[in-house]
Amino acid sequence: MSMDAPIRPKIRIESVNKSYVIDGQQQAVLNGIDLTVNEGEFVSIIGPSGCGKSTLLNIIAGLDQPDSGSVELSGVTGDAISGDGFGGGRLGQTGYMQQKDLLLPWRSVLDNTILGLELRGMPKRQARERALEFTEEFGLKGFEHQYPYALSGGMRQRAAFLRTMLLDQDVVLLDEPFGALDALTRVQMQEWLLQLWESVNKTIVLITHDVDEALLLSDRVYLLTARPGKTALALEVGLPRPRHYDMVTSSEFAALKSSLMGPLRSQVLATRSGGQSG
Amino acid sequence: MLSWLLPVAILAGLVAAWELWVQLADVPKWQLPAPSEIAKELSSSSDLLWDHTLVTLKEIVVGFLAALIAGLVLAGGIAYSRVLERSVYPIVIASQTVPIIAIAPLLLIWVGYGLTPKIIIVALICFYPIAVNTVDGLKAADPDMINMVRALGASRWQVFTKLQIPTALPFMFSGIKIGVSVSVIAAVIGEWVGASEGLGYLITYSQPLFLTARVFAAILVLSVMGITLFVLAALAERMMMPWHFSEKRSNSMRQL
Ligand SMILES: Nc1ncnc2c1ncn2[C@@H]1O[C@H](COP(=O)(O)OP(=O)(O)OP(=O)(O)O)[C@@H](O)[C@H]1O
Ligand SMILES: [Mg+2]
Repeated sequence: MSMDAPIRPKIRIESVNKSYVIDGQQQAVLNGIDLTVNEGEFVSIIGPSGCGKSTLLNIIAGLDQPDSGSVELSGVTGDAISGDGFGGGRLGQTGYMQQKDLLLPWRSVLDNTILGLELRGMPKRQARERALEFTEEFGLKGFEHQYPYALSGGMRQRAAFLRTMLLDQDVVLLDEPFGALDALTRVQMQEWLLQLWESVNKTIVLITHDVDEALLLSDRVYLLTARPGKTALALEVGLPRPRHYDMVTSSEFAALKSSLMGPLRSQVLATRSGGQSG
Repeated sequence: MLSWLLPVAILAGLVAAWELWVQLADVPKWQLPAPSEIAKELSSSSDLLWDHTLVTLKEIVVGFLAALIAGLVLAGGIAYSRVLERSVYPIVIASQTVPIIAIAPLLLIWVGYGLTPKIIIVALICFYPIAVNTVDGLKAADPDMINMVRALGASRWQVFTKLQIPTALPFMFSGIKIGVSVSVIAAVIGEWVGASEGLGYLITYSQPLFLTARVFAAILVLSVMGITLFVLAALAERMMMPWHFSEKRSNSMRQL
């Protein structure tokens, strides 16, 4: 991002705690987590499976309420959930692509992508026209009128991605968006996301298990500890922009990677040993 | 492919055996008429059968539609409102233990003869499977899906219309198919209790006169009616849920 833009926090999370009943007992999932994402930043979150990454995004998106701590989105601090838990709070304020594609089986691919626009009251025809402008870019051309079951995992994810992006929110939360893709398509999608982000000035939070992906795309990478998750490390990625996939072979990249891999490995090991006792 | 061939062949074999047995053992006509005898009856009394068929069909169609509307509205209310779920749903379930056959004679006292008591019986019997299946369907929405639409900013009502209702369709059609299957029995019961027309009446009227072939003819028409209604419901299901069937075909071609 350009240096002269004023730095304003878009998402600010302070000592957020969350626990769930897991295996019949109350267990902390997030344990005093702190995290800040400035406007226009690309931030990745990496951490062992089950450490609460998706829970954190759920809280930011307003689906879930933290037990304590504060969450600020676009300068507004407040309850995630208001009233009946539908609408209000932070719901509908972010573009949230969840870990599963969650396409509605009874809707065509095109009608799945327009769901958010439709919920906002845009007439179907208009929404479809808008979506059709993007199907080519999202690799869905020719499949618009298929039902989701006919699509490959990667295509389903791209359809879910388009559903998220069509709402054109400032803040985009991506929970392992490239999980179902083969390595090659994955790299393509990463580069494509880079371009997209560099051109539209969105604030993006990406959850990933892929260290290369996190470093290549992000301004900053947060490493979470094993459950209960808290921030173990916040690594500034000083690689120049615009970025390109070739950078993964540079010595700077290698240095960043090794400074992330060590702590990540010890957290993953902590999960394993914790898993054995539990 | 040709999956209908086997049941049709079995049925044809049974009918042939029946015919043969009646002919060879010389069973009296009033006791068990041969299939050929029933066919003869079908054509000779076709006008009579047709008139009574129309009556029974009317009872079934009107009663079923009333049950469908009431069942869907109530299911919607129960799935949408906790209060209704807590207050009304237990009553709906308990009501199923009331023997409707026992109520039928009372209906005659309350609403008199004519079509109304039969329509009420058909509606009462069809209502339960439609309502209960639809309630289950409306509650079957995947919690992750609910979160997905909530995150998109959906209101409670939008979750209901865009997610819960489509999820409920396959369940609703299961209820409808059960409903139409029992609707024929319901109409016949209604007519047995007291009627002056309809196929059920024709059966109770013909039987003491030993017009056994006519009884069989009426039973046959009732079965055809039931099968036709079921097929219509299945066709409506296919038309309303094209995704459901193409998905099934592609996923599990011969498994189920
Ligand atoms: N709604 C819930 N009710 C009960 N337990 C929950 C709920 N949501 C999450 N959990 C539990 O909280 C823990 C953290 O879950 P979460 O999905 O946030 O992990 P994650 O870091 O996203 O893992 P992964 O990398 O495997 O996606 C898990 O043990 C999970 O079972
Ligand atoms: Mg997760």
